[in-house]
Amino acid sequence: MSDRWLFKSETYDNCNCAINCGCQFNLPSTHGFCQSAFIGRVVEGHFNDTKISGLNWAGLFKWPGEIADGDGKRQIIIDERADASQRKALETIISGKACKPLSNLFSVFASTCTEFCETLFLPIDLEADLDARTARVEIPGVLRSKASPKINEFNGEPFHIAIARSRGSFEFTYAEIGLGETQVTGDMAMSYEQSWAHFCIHHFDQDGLVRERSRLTAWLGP
Amino acid sequence: METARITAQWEFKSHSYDNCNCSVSCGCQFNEPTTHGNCHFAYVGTIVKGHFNDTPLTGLNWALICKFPGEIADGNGRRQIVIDERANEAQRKALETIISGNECRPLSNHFSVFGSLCTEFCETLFLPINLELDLDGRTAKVDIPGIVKSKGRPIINEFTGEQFHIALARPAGSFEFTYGEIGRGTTEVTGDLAMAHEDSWALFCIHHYNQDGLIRHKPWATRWPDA
Repeated sequence: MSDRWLFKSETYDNCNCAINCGCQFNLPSTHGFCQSAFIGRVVEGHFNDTKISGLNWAGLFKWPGEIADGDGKRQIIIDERADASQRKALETIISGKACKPLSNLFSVFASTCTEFCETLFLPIDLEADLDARTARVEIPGVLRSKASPKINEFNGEPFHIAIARSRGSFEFTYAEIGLGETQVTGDMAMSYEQSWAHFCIHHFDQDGLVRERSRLTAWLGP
Repeated sequence: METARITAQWEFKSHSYDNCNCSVSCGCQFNEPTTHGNCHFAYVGTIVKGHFNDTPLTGLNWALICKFPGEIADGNGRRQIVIDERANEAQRKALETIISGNECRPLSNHFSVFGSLCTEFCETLFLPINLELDLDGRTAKVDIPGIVKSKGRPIINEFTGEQFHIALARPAGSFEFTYGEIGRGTTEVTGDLAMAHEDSWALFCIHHYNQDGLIRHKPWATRWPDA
């Protein structure tokens, strides 16, 4: 593992769990199985000498049971604007390779997958506002997704809750939570709505999480 | 709703531990139903800063025990307040007022919200409340002789055996906290509100209220995220 890389992505995820997704609490999933679509934009990043900033990516996952029980299926989608070396770099990182084993989400998920669909290179149209907990995604022919804050059933206002993981996470230190809906067609066909959505910054390098405070915590003050 | 004029000026800053019967992904926190379709909980806290008009409250312990037959929002709850026996007459009255959810902007703190959903109010008890609480370490030990025994601890990660560290942050909209650390707790209550739950949701947070609602303190976890 001699590669040096940095992957800082503003990311939106929508899975099929309820908004209190058990995985986040070291509990079982809501429905006994997990389907998930991550879509992000690299805001800062490189793989050795290859710059990857500004590129979009997606990782689609389906497990027949709990993630930890394995037998997952994965498909990676990479921004068609990426050149050959950028495509290889992003595919390597999102495949969970070239890193300390299990040190980031991609590596953990890869270790629980047994079927790897062909990586696709497509336009990934992503509008996400992490602070506002909104997202809209279109990957033509493959994925449509959107998300918004949960509406508080008692007062009709947006319900604002976030998860903080000061240590121990292989994914984030802070994530805003909302509700999303996703339809995927093709190899990874799946569909769910009104389910867990999170908005976070994935900030990884070859050794694991980069322990930088998330910009989403600005409300906490200095 | 017709509301009484609030004339009291008060502050209530408590380091608090709560153990309810939900799983550690307690639906109430997410505006979702409870885990088991009903709610039983025991809050125990120690006031680190507080007064009610001219009555100082700092250093006193308190407990709030509630049982709801269904979802909290569906009401019909039963409540019992326990106040530190060291409190003098004025302090007892002050604490009972605050924990009852009185003398505040209606529904502006969790005491007021819970109070509005209860229909049976057991006699307030004045007892020794032994509380050992470590908010950062997510541990608690409570003994209210004859009434409550409770223990809180961190979640243990089933995959690594290490402590699992998760907190909920509420940048806006909460009537209880801006930052709550999550663990697991086990509680046994005897008496009017007998209940028992084990290894279920535990919350470690700072309740910081005044007569108008939450005082938006900065979360105590200032070294977060850890290096």
